[in-house]
Amino acid sequence: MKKIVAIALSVLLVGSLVFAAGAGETQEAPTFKGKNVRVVIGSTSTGGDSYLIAETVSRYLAKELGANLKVDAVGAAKALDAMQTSKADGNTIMMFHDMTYLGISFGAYDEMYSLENMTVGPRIAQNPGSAWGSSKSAPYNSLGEIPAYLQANPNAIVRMACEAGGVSHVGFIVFWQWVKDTYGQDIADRVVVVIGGSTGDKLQLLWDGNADVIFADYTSLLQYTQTDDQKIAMKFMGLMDNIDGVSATSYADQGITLNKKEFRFAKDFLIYLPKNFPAALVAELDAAMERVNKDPALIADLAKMTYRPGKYLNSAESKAFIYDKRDSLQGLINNAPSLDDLVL
Amino acid sequence: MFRVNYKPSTSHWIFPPIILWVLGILLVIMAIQRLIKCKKQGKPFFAFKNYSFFVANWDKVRLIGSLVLMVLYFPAMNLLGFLPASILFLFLFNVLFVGIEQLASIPVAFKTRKFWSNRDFRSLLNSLIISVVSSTLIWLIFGKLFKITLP
Amino acid sequence: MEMFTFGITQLLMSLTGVVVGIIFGALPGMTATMAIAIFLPLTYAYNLNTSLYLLLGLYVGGISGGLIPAILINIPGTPSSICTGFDGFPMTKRGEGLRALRIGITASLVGGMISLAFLWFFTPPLAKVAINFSAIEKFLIIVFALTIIAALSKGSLVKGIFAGFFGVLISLIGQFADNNKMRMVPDMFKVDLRMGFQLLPVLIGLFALVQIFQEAETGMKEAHQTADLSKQSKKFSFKDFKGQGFNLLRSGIIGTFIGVLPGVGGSAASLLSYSQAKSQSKHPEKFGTGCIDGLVASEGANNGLTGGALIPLLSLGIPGDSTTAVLIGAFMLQGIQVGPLFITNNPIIWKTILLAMGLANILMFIVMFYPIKHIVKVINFPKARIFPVIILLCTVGSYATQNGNMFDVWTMLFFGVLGYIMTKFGFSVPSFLIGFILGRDLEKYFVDSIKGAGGSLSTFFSRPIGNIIWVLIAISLGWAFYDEYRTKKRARLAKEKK
Repeated sequence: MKKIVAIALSVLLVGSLVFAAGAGETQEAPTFKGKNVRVVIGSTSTGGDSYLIAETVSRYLAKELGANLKVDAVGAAKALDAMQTSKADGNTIMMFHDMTYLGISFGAYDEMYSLENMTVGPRIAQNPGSAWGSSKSAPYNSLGEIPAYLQANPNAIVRMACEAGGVSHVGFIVFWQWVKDTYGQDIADRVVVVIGGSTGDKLQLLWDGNADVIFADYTSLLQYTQTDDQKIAMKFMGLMDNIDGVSATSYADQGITLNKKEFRFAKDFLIYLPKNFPAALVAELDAAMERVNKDPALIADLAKMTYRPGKYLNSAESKAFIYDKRDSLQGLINNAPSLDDLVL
Repeated sequence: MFRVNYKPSTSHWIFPPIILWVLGILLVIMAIQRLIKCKKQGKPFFAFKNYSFFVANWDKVRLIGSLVLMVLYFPAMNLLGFLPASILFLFLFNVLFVGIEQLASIPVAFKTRKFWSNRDFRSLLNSLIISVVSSTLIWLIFGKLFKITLP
Repeated sequence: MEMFTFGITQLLMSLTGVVVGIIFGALPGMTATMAIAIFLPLTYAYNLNTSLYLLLGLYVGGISGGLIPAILINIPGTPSSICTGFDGFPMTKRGEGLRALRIGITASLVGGMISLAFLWFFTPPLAKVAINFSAIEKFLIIVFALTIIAALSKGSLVKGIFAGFFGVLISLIGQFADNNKMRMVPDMFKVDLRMGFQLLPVLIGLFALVQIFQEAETGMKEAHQTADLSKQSKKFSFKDFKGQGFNLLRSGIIGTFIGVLPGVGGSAASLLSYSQAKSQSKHPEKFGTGCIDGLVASEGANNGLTGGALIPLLSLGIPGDSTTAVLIGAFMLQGIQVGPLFITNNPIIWKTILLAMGLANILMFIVMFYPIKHIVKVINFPKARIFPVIILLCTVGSYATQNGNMFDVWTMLFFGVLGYIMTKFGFSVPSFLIGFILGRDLEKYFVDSIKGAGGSLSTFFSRPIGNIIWVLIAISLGWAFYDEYRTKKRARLAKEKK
């Protein structure tokens, strides 16, 4: 009888010992080594560029840091929250693109989430593949041709599907502003916006005849431009930046400018960290990313997905870079009309 | 004809009012239904007097106890950590659900030195074993093997 | 290019996937999506073909495992097995738990195989059909799926509908995707409720905790199975499927079709299938009392979903449900694009997917059909012993929904209490949940429809397929009202006779 009690108690004891062993963390100089690092990303999709870049880079970074990195697709709001609520101990980091500040620039997110309330880490990669596409049978072949088409057809309108407050929103207002400045308000009034969600949603808008031009990632539209099936065949209308080895033309190629200056926009993927992040950890991250950045295997992996590898900037450089990029877009965003006035 | 004013900046308020209207209409229908029924059966519309929310002879200890234990369990995980808190509270849940009167057997068992043969005390031991084994198993399988974030 | 390989490794991968998937599916709070997300990074260590066996095994296993707790303890393991419990659990109470499980498992296999056949032979044409379904049709299909609420709330139709719409309203809390703006969120929950209430904690709270509270109120005296097993209870035999052929086929097809439609959630499949089985049945009054038809309809449809959801993924690059959305990552990480040319460009991967799906379904059947008789013994334990473990599992599952958020655990408790109170006033908890599950999609497609039409509501009657669905909705509702009327009349006559 006592035996049973003894067994039960020893199970309890062993259980708590195992637990203690697992929970015990040593408090030494801060390092990523041996840590379980949660990498939050600003997208909930595991098929989009945010996940793919974060997952690929994390895999290499984990080896270099000697840590266990786990990508967690929580979405923009949760990721931004994590940067404000997590401790600056290296257990939670964020990998995300320009949406980090655009959400605040467009006023969708509170000022408390601004770059000033985070630590900017190194840049890890770029995705140049922000693209506009339309049905293959559309009566224009590029964004640049749309104003001429509208001039020739006084009753026509062109509906462009993009997301509010994101990279595609920037892409849209740059184009719209250029049309307005170059061809006048009348033409610009006939370029309208349709708010769409995921790439699937925007494709559906196109198929339903509720949009004429849609915004999506280059890779997700690529096969649509290669198929012969007339119902779904598409063509690229314009990229926000050129992609190496890809013939589709960019805003710059088509002469679509921002304030008469060449406009290029690639999504910059940076590591973001909570505010007041220990300098030692930032330096460790920089050093690791710098080595990973040169790894031919990572370069090959990213290039395979048409992302731009080898874009490492250390934390200080990348902070200056991203603040600069944000400020250069703020004027455009402030001057642009509200989407409410641009819908049909 | 019927049009909805669509503006992106206010589009998040298009649908909820529609649902609220539907709910409002349904409420009115329910009230009318009840009114008709009450009139037919000669009952007042509001019958608070004989109304009882709980079933007859409801088990106050178990119902309130389980609610209280849950409310305590969740913060306890932050305080004590997942495994200790789960073992403790799983044991308490077991004791609560099986019957707290068993607790009276503890002094008896120690006095009589009869542990396993004491039915109530054996049941307590069962509770302990269940709580230790299942908490540890879940912790091992999900926390360690699959690396799910545990409280 | 990668070679088509099949060997012991692939078999083991598939088996592992199926078993782990079933475990995740069977435990309340764990889902197939979660399992696949956990294993996704691991797949990089293997080549794509091998990992597909694992991932698709997880997918099929995860969808199938949900029937076990739904039937045995009336807590659906996954959102898509809600309807399984409607008829499965009453069977368990009658002492036919094992029979119900085996019927469910067999129906799952058949549903899975039907959808595999569609995937194999009709992927390109079905994808073409799918893209003809605009936001309007999708909105109407969701409305159609919502009509199951009418079929469920016999005797208190208005209350049932109210509960359903209340669920819709609650689901709208949080941020609207189009403009990232929040509504109906109190300031103090701005951070936690940005994305609204999460489905899993709500589901667990409504089913598991409500049950626990109700049992606690009445003293928690019995085991789940009240029938005396020593008496002869009905045993499973494949003859049970006599007369179910059409039901199976219909359920499999409904499941496949809902899967094919991108953006219409997986739970709609079994809801729609169940309500169709009921309204086309000769004895609709038996539904909800442990009727095989209902069980078959639900399980046939949710496994039918698996193959269906792969169709738009592989032929358009658009996932058919949330689980297949996770699968995209597996392809992309290996540098393989999914889109309209996927099958043409990757014939070997395509064959691997077909084989892996078939294998996963067969393994699922083998792994579940025989060993289930041991699992079924769980219900012989006293509830007082089972419930604490369920509380633990539910807590872990809720917490893990968003990778560690205590708010979700409180959500579970909140909806547990809410559901308990609703039940007291005769409002149907399943109806509320169904409204909650479909609410967001309902709003999305409503707004998408009027957005395309510049705000005009007449757009909902502007499409031929849409008008057909309108007619179906009208029939379904009309039938439910007639059924309600007839039942009440019968009850009144019976009273008068007395």
